[in-house]
Amino acid sequence: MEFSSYTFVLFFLPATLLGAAILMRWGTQSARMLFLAAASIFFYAWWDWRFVGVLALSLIVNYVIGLSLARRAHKPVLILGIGFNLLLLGYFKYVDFFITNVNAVLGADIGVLSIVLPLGISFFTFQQIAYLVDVYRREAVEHSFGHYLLFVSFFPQLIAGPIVHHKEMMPQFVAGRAGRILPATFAQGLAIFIIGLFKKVMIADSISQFSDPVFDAAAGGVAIPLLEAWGGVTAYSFQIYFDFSAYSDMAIGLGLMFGLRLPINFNSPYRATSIVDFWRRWHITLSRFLRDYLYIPLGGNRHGPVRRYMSLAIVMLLGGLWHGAAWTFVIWGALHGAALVITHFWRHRILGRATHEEPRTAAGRVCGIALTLLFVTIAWVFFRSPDIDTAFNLLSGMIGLNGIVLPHTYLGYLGGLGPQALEAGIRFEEAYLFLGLRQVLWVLGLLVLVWMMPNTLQWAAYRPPAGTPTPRALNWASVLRWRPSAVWAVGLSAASITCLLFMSRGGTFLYFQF
Amino acid sequence: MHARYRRFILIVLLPILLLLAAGAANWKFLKAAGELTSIEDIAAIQQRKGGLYGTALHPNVYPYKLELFAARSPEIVAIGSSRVLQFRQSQFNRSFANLGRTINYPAEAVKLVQDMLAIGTPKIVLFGIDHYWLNPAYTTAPDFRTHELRGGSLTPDAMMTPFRWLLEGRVTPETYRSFLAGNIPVAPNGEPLIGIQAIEDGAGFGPDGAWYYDHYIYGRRAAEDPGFQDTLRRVTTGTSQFRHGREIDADRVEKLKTAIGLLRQAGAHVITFVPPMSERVRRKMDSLGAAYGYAEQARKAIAALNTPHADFLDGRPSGVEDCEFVDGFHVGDVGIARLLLALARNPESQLTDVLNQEHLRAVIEHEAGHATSDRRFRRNGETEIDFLRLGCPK
Repeated sequence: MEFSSYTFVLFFLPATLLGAAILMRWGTQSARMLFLAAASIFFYAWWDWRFVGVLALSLIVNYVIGLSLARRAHKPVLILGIGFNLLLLGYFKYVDFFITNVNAVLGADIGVLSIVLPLGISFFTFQQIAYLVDVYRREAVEHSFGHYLLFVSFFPQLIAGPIVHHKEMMPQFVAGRAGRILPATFAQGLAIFIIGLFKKVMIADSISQFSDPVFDAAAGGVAIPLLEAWGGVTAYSFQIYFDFSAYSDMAIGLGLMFGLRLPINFNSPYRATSIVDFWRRWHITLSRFLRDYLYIPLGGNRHGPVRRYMSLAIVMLLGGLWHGAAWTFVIWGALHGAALVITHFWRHRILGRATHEEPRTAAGRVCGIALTLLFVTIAWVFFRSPDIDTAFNLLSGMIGLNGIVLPHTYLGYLGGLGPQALEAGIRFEEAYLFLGLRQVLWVLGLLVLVWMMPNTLQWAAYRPPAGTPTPRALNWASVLRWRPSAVWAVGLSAASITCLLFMSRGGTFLYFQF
Repeated sequence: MHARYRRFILIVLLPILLLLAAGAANWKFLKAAGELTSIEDIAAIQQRKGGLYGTALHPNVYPYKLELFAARSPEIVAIGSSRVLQFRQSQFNRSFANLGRTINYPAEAVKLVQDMLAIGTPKIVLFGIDHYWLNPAYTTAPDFRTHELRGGSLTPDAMMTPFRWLLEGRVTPETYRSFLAGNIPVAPNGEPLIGIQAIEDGAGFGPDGAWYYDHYIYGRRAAEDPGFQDTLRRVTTGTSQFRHGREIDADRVEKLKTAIGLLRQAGAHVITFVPPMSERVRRKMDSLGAAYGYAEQARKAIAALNTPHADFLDGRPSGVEDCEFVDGFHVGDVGIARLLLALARNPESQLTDVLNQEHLRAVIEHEAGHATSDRRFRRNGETEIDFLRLGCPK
């Protein structure tokens, strides 16, 4: 059940809201929480009820280990707990990858197990590892099973994050906010949810028409020429941006509708001035997990630059592998790791500045943003490609090794320059994978949106749970900030009707596959 | 304070609720158009009164064709993808059903054969095998869930779809109002039209299961493949059926053998053939060399299935020309007439007695260069046009 499906929007969500509203009036706080957990498990079971067993096993084992750690912070128990989680994730996600590589390296013929990946396993596994470590560190002190059940299973964050911390949710549960539907938070949540839905249905799913054919053709062995390669890769860069942004908005909006504040997971990452800044804005809760539970335990910045750079590289390699069991993801992670190391080295050693420091001039900021987006976009080639050959095919196209093809109609527009273009080796043919001006306008429009407009959470002045990063407040556009006004209501209503009409053509959220 | 938020929520949700309420009108519209009629009823209506079934809503071809098979109990069937849909009852002098567009992969062939044999056993099976089925890069898995669709149910998506059609201009407000008032047009010959596509475009399945492309052929709608550009795009970019690949998948060959074996075991006589591609498309594929390395292997593997067989990928030796195509890889019924006569020349095919040879020869003589000779659902005064813009004299 996708957030952007009729089943969810017209049936599951209204029914769950109604149930929560009834229990708010006539039920107890515990009943509301239990109801929300039951609805969340139903939501999870909708895909494949068999995986409810995996979720339940993970949840119960982690809860029991958590209780044990709460009684006594015994390191072997913590290791046992983390080992269990990694084993579970490893079995479902990495066994076939491991077998394939063993076969390739040793020339063996071990049959792959063709294991189906339970939805959201990467997310709920990481969330629970964080829980165990927090209990061990005495940072998680509340251990009611009902609370824990909802903490792990709450449907807005179950499938694709945000990876929430125990300490972010428990105070809200204890305060009885779960399932408490109040007009102010509901209205704000509804607004954020609709904006997210619009992004998914009307932007992310629309722009895939420019990216999917290019990656499919590249995977089929077609040598992709320069313009098509850049067109497809740029389109994918915006597709994944709006897809993940949409999901993150919808998760936060849904949380608010049910009275809960989820941490921000996405904060205008294409406005990042460096790759360090990018990872503070993209999938924020994953970055936080990797920093707190991997980078810092590996030594962080406490053991000199070389150790620090190694830690960064390891963290990003594993971060890449977390996204998928394929070498393309490992390379993607390695590229980001290398970029982080270079950035740290450059700022510390060459410029003598702190890593997190923003560029000091406007020109520096603009260059930083442009370079970061360029790097991130090129790295997405590995992220999206089904295999390394496809990625190199596209990269070859992007540097012009597959030639330049322009739509044959352009030859007329070039006038006197036409013969020179032909002489320079530019071919004028049917450019099947480049849709001309329409595609260019789409990309430019989206660039304006991501660079110049406030993001959803800024529009909505969203306040995340205490202790988590908050997006910078609006300045120039504050007059347009979301308010419970008739104008906003009419606009959002029109947006939601548009989504309802075009929802069926959409695809799955890209982050669901992880 | 709360009142402002409540008013806001109400203004946001009220139009949505109204839209959903208006969905009730869509229900009436779809019901009137036959989109909510069950496939059992549709098959029965078509056998009783004839008519055209063209849904714009349900991907239910597979179960519909099985219903049609059950309703007709034919001696001869054509099975395969959409590329065999131009086999028609008029080409045979025994009962016939077209089960085209039920098989998109060898695995689906096994399932169709099993499902069909559970209903009955035809005497002769004309099995059109697309050579790209054997390309392992052709990977989009068949969606077996569509095999279970019965029609007749109203999904939330279906409730919204007529609004989308209105927005996109696919259905005019006049048509919408007219349907709500219960005024459903019939074909000029008086036969019923079931489903929006049949009513609006005149495209759909006839009572024998063959497909009518009247919307393109008579120029009611712009053809999707003028100059075969769309097919050529697929070939160049290696997409959908035209994925590039070097080797065939042996497992897929085994699946074909299984399907044929099951048919034989049940006592059916199986004739296999590879349907034709237009000359321009075939030449383009050839020009890409190794990108379609699998093609020759696939054709050899299909020819080695130990059935009476003909490879029509190149339709020229049988007299098929590009003007007889509906798009780059779907030949029309005039081309099919040529293929049937060519198949019949092989005595092992045992087709001589069951073909309506007189009709087929007349079609070839009078309709050469046309995509169709079947004008059953033609509207008044319409003639075939050069809808592919190939410069075909029509």
